Amino acid sequence: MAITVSVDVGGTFTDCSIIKDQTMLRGKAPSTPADFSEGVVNAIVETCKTATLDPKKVLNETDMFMYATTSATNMLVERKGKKIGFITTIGHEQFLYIGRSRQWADGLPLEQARDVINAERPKPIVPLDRIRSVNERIDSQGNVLIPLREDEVRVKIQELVDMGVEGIAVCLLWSCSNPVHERMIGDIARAAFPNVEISLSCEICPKWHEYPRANVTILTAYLGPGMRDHFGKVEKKLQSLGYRRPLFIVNNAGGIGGITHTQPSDTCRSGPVAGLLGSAILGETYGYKNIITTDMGGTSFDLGIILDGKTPFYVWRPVIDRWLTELSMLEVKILGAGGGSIAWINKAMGGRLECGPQSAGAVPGPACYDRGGEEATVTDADLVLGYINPDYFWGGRMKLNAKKAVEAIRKKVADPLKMDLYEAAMGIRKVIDAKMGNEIYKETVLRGYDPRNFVMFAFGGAGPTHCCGYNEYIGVVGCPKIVTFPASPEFCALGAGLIDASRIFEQSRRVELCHPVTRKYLSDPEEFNAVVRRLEAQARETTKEDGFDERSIVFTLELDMRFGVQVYLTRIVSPHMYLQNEEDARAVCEQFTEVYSKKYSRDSAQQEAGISIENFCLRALVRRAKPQIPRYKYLGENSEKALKGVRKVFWNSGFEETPVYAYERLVCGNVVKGSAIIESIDTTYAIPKRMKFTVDEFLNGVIEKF
Amino acid sequence: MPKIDKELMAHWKVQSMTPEQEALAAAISPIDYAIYSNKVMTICEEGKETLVRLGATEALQAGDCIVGIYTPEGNMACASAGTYLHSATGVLPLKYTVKYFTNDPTVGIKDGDVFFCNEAILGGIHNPDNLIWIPVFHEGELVCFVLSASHVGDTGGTLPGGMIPSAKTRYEEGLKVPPIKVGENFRIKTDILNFFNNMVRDERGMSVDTAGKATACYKVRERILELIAEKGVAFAKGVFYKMMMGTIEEAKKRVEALLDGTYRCVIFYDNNGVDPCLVRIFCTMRKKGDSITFDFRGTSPNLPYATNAFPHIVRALFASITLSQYFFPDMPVGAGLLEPFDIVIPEGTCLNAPLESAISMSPSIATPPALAMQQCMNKAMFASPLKKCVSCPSGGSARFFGYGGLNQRGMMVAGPFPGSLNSAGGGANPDKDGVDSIGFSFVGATDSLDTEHGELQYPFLTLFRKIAKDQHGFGKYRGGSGVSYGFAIYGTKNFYIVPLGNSWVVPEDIGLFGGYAATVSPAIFIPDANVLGQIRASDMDLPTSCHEVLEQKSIKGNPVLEVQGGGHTLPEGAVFVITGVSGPGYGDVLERDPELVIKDLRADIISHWTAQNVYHVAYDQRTLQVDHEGTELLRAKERKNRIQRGVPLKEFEKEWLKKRPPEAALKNYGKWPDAG
Repeated sequence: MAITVSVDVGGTFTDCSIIKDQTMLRGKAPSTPADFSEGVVNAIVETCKTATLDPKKVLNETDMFMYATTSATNMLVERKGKKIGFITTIGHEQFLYIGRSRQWADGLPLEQARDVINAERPKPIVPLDRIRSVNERIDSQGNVLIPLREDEVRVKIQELVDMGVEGIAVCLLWSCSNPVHERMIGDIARAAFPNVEISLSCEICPKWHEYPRANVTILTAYLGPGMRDHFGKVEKKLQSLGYRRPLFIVNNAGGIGGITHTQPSDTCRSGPVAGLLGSAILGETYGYKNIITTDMGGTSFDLGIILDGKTPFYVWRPVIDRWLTELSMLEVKILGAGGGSIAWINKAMGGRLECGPQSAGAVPGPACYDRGGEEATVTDADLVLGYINPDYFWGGRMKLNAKKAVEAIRKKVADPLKMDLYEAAMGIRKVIDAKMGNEIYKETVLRGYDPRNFVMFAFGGAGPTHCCGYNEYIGVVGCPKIVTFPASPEFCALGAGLIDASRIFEQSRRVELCHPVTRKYLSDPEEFNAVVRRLEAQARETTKEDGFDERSIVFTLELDMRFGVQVYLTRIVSPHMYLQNEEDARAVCEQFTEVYSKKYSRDSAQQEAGISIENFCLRALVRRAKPQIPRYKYLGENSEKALKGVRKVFWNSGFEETPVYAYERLVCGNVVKGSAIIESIDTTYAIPKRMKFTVDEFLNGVIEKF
Repeated sequence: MPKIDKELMAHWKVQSMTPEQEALAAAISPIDYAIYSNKVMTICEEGKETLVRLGATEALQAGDCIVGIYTPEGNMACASAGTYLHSATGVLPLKYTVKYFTNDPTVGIKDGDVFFCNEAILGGIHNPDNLIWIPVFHEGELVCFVLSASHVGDTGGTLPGGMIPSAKTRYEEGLKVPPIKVGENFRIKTDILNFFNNMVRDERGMSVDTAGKATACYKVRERILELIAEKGVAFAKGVFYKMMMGTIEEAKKRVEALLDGTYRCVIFYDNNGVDPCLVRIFCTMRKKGDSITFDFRGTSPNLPYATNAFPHIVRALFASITLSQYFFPDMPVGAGLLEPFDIVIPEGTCLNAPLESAISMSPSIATPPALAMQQCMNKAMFASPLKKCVSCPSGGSARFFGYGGLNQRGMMVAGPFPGSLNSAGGGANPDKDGVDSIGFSFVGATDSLDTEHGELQYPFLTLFRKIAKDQHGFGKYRGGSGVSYGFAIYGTKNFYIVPLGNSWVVPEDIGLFGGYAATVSPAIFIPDANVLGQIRASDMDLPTSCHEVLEQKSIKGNPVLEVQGGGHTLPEGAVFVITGVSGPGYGDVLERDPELVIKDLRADIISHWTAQNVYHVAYDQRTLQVDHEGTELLRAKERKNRIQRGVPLKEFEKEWLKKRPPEAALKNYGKWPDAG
């Protein structure tokens, strides 16, 4: 089998995974923001070292190089994009600034979104003086009411170019229904100024609602050149080292695409999405179809749901930084909960103990890091309670100061709440575990899924230390099985290497499938089929251009639908890609009603109010052969060889002498029964009473009750 | 007229908790409280999210909704709300249910029952507010109630849209249902839903929203039963009571931190529902220890049309505008919020109207008292540790419009249009400007929806949507500006539009410590316009603001200015313009940084006239470069002028008290000058 290399570029580290035959290698190197390609090559070199491979030879034999990065988001947050202008319809020059009014709260956590007194709008990407309008108008049906004049377009473009813009984003009202005016602006601008980045909303995001559509269009013009430069450098560097194919970029919708077919806004969550998809694919190998993926790091807790081997959930109201979009983005919930989460007292809730979302971060970090941090954090609590070994944090590369942790917890939590030090530390641990458990509860139980039918994957630096805790707080019962991975920190990179080639093609179009008055189903399917045909042609062309065989595409048609005059839409997988007759239309309606009733209730499905489709979303997928995951021989349950000592750990009822194991010495089949601690270089596993940790045939750690 | 219980209406507070209830709350450990109060709030949030996702009407989408858990006595334990308005609206119908239905064999309260109410005397603030609630039983014991509420599009009154400014009696306002059982076995009865649908114009909106509210209640009930299965019924009840007690304690603590004293504010409302006139809202706030009393003696009598309110409506507006956004923004929604406050409103005033009165415009008349209460609170907070909470209220009054008729697809639509309502300007703060188009003053962050959304649903062609110029209150820090909308009727032959709200001719959003009030702006109608004909004939430049509509007259026709109630049935091509309210200013205009004035000029938010005559800034009109020295000279001169214009108080009063508005403006005022 050919080699697949994948990297996930983070703010601090670039993680790498190489899949060759039945071997999966992992490694990392510091990220290099000045030129990310350097960090990428270093990570490849480090990974190759683990199996004494020649990086050039590896790249030369590499069939696919997958790339995940959230640097577009970083570039946006730091406002390092290009100077751009914006053109829109006359009379609507300020809709970006009105921002549906609630723009000031988009992308903020609930507490800040309620804080009217301190409300601030985000700094605009396009200042008002670089916005131009053109005298044109198209109506909601796509009819041209006021034709666009070429001479006016030329003047407006020239004005912007004279101001020194490097890009122009164009979003006219109803261009998603009739792109003729936007295309005219695009043609004129591209011909006159080939070096100016032209971004048309009808090409980038042909969906209704001008504000989110314009945001995506603007992000494309603003970040596009920078990101293409970034991707281009990486691709060039890889090709100079022997890689012979294009670079494939992981996108938010769970697919990959070549540089030319990937917009910057498509990549903002590519790392977590890669982790989610990797979990789905590995889950299939391990025999798990329903999976809750959890990733607890230093500042955040990422959560994803895999249902029947698929990733069916999309983000509701997706926001990139502070900008609302309507992109199809696979849902990975991100919660402010991690080892660095700060414990505090909430006076508004009668002195309630809280943890996060504020984080001490890496600098100054938890008090025990001894870098000037004075806040009590989750890591401090874990240290005080004996879960973390101050001399073996990060494999002993960083010594922790237990005295500082004690001081912080006493001062910030125990004394104000009149609690004992250990009660306070245990309180912090319970509150953070409950917070994460509550989030899992929201995403499973509150959506109608029973966690007992799921397996939990726990990764991230703090995941194995807390997974038994947050599993306990999901609800009446948690997941029966938790799986941990030796490749925990590089999991997202590994995931990127396993992804199929897939892309989403979208278009807004209202099609009334069931009429509210006559209750009749759509009899002329052409309205429906024409949209799908157009999307299919687009998908085939793009797939071919990315170097895949368009004949092997598997299509899935998803539809955003609603009853009557509902504002929000529900997405379903259509039972038919094309409609032949009224019966097919009825089948789509029945599918929608079933999905809707299951999601909400039988009473809430109001078919008599009419049913319409609002958005079409065609997913084109080309499957890739999956690597064979190596299996290891069973070597017995006895884990005594891994025992490295005993220390006092505070479990629910108080301190107990607890055996401590070395993760690296455990072999396939070994069982560690709780209460126990297992220390690895990357993390610490906390195994409570009545739970056992078993090393399975893939060398994953499986935690379950006994 | 439903059975009225004035005692019940007066006793909306938690009053006292029994020793048993206190014991249940005390049994919850601090850590369990931290964990499970969060969980209960998550459950409420899920309920609200369900309601919003399933709902149809824009008001619901804008946050005019709530889903909450109430104790068996009818007190709110906690809730997830768009607007906190409804933190005060669910208590009455629930207490009514408990008091009158528990032992009534013809009604009763059983597991699976579903109740409904949209009678503002007994819940909600006007009849577009529909409430649904269900009891939650565990092994035969009533554990709590779950209630969901939202604003629906139409009530079947004499005018479309549910808010009928010209209604003279309650009988013109359409569907008014006192607490009633509408379902059993967790299903709403089809015959009753048919009855509701039959009574309103927007049948689809009514049925979809009603189903959404019931579904939200079922969801929350399911989760409460899961919590009980996990932790036991006593635990669940204990958490509910402890959450209620927690908010009461904190609310009282915060009130105690304010400076004791008496604070006053007067605001004039500018119409009686149909005609422009003056209505006096006079608020005296007395703060002592951990309690505050708002006294509205000196307020005008009840009005002849639908701009009347009841005391619980004033309370609701106070909770939604002042408490939730400025005084307790970090506190959860619960009964405790209102516990330290008493409100005295004399009977027969427009804020404590006779029960027969029309009240569908109650939010409009109950807003100025809430603004007055906030201004009193601002003054008390300024001299306290809570100074950081001082802020002019976001454009608190509202200017928007109701609509009704067949849309471009031949479907009946009716309701209030959310655009200008949900894009009011924010109030100025002691250290910064208000935010332009911040949202709806009752809610905070709201969605005013895209132009494309409106044009897809309604027969409108939006000519312009623009941040309003010179509308905000000027000051050291200016208020945020609202948004001005220009529409042409498009795709239908006749469509009814009626302006709703306040601040059309008299400003109600008054400034703080020298800041200006936000400016007024009447609605503009051009019923005889033929915009589509002009467009087809290439006979116009599209106007891009209300100033252009009136000054450049590119739209042919005769403009008519209207205030609340001035409705028109408009033909295709007719034009109407509505400008949402803006926020008031803070502090002296002469202290405003000249660079900020220029920034506003560049953003086209103020005119040159304002920069020169209000802010007294010297600058180059071409380059917009500030002349700082020149500005100082202009401002010094203006300060001198102020001193010259000033007169001693007695002298001022002598002249001022001779003045009297025209009689027409005083027809609903009460006795001049004190309205008593």
